[in-house]
Parts: sequence; C-alpha cells; structure tokens
Amino acid sequence: MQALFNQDNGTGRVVNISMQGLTGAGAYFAGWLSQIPSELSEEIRLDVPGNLGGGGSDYASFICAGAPAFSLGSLRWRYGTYTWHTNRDTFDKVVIDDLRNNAILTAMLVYLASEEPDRLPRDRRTRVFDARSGRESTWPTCRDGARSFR
Amino acid sequence: MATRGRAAVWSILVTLLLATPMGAQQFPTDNPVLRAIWVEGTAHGQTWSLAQTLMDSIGPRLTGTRGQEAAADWVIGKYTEWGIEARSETYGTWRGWRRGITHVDLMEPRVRSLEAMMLAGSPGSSGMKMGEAVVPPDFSSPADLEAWLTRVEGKFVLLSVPQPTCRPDENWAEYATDNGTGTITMLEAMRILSEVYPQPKRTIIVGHWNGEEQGLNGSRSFAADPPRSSTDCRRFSTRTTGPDGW
Repeated sequence: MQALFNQDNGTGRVVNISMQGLTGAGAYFAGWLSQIPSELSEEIRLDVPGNLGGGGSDYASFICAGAPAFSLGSLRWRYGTYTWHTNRDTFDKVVIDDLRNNAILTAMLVYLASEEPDRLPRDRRTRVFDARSGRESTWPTCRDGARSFR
Repeated sequence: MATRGRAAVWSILVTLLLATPMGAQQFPTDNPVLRAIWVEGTAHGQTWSLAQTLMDSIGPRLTGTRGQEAAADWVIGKYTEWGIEARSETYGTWRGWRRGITHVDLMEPRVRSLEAMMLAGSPGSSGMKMGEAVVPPDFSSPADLEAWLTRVEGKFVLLSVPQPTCRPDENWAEYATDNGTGTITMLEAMRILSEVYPQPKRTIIVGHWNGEEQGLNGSRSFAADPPRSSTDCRRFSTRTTGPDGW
C-alpha cells in the first residue's frame, strides 16, 4: 500500500494531518501540499513525525501493521459536544463548502500519492507515546474485527 | 427555450468566474490533473446532492440494518454509474433491527411531551404503556435491590446517568457528520478522479467500512483478510505488499 487517507471526525475543513509516527512521511506530505492550492492547504498543520492517533478510526486498522495510514483531521467545530453520536447528527449540520473542499483535497492527495515515484517509507519513530495519557507506549498490535455479535 | 438559453449562459459565466481567478493567481503548479481536479470539484461538484441523498433520503445506517444495506446499494450504484468497479464484501453476520416510533409523555403533574429515544436494539413495547415513574432508592445490599425489583414491574425506573454513558457509541446517532461526511468526501473524491485521472499509476481503492463504532470491525476484517477475488485487488495485493503485509 502506498498510502491510506481516512476521514472520520466531523464536517469541518481538514486542518491537521499526523504522520502517525512514520518518520519519513513528512517530507512527502510537505511536497504534495506544496502543489495543492493554498485555499485547501494553508490551514493544514502537519504533525511530523507525529504520534499514533488514539486508534479512534479505521486508519488504526492499518497503522498497527506499520502501513502508511493517515487521518485527515477536520476542524471540529462543536462536533464532540453537539452532534457526536446523537440524534441531532443530521444533514442540516453539514458544512457543504468544507465537505466539497475536503473531497477535492482528498482527490489531489490520492493523485499525488499515486504518481509519487517512491514507495512511502515505513520507518517508525523509536519511542511512541499514548495519544491520550501521553505516557510512553508501544506500537499497537493489529486485531481482527468481530464477525458477529458476541 | 429562451429560459433554457439563459440558463446555459449563466452556467458558463459561473464556471469562468470560479475557475479563472484561481487558475491565474493561487494555483501553485501547472499540473493539468491537479487543475482538472479543482475545476471538476468546484464547477461540477456533487457533494450537496450526494450528501442529501445519503443523510436525508437514506438516513441512519446502523450496522446490520436495512438502512445500512440501502446505503451500501446506493454507494455501489453510484460507483457503477461512474464506471468504477464496486461491490460489497460480507465479513460477518449481524442482527437486524429497525427503529420504530418512540413517543414519551409526562402525564402528571402536567402533560408534557418529552424528548426521548430508545436505545438501538431495544425490543418494542407492543403499543402504548402507561405507568408510574419511580426513582430507585440507595441499596444497602444486592438482596435489597432484588427485593425492590419485584415491586417495580409495570413502572418506569428513572436513572440519572451522566450524558456520555447515556450515549453508547452505536446507539443514537443519525450519522450525518459521523460519518456521512467521510463517506461523501471519499465518494466525491473518487467521482472526480474517475473523471480526470482515469489511468492511475497505482490502483486506487476506497473502503466504506461499516462497524467502525463497534470496534473498527469492517476495516480490521478487511486488513486481516483483504479481498483477492477481483483482478484489481489481486494486483494491488501482490504488487505493493511489503514486510508489513500492506
């Protein structure tokens, strides 16, 4: 796999991309973003080399194997305290212009990753820290998904 | 016909207004594909109608429900319409459940309709139920609780549970910003790419995995057992797999 881009934290524009502890990924992202219009890229913060996310979304199913899987982090607005996991999470809360820009950004990143001559390096940072507690941790182990209700 | 002619002129003007200033001033590269992605996404973007269909017309899509099935069928239909090979992969079996009507009214000391929602997976009540509302006392022992439970049949037990634990991840949501927006982002990105980048250098796969809230079930199952049935996926798996398995 060359790269995986995951988007799962709300309706806002993409403002944060962590390299998930892959030490060689930052240079590639910087190169890709430099080719993307500033309207889409100027507010994106790259976390280099970054830490592994809390495992809260589907990229975690791949980064556990050391595969380059990244989360396109949205501006959260009041996602966590307003709509998140409630029956208020309806179509009217969606910021359509940001969604449109995120789709364009994703298409551009996918195109640039696809055309990238190099295979994205898998080098990992030697020390990793738990995203929530900040304590030193280990690289997570992959687990199979549940296939039925337990 | 006159109206139609005018509409056509306007759409051309709008396209020019959107595309030209960006092309001239802010675009950092002459890369024709990046420019085409921008024009396709801005001038012909479909995020609004795609999002409206998924989030409003189809609505909630809890794993194992008909809503989930309808959403999967719709996504596959869209990809097929755009000439992108798509199919659903069965990685597990889930119990189905369909939300019915929940309506709760306070009857005394005054009538007031309450905002209420059944937890997903709850059985139905077979019609209207009316009963006294009781608040559990402090229990001194499990036996104390057992004895109290025999006296509450037919009553509504009111528990004051803090909000976070009152919202089990998979149970209440309507799934617009979590994660209809993620689905639409990828759907629209793939639509744009299929228009302007039909011969990608590497295989592009999009995964709309379900069961994320229940423990990343869809993506973990995919990662553990990647599909190998299609030509594209087989090529993807063998050509690019590294020491990490991916």
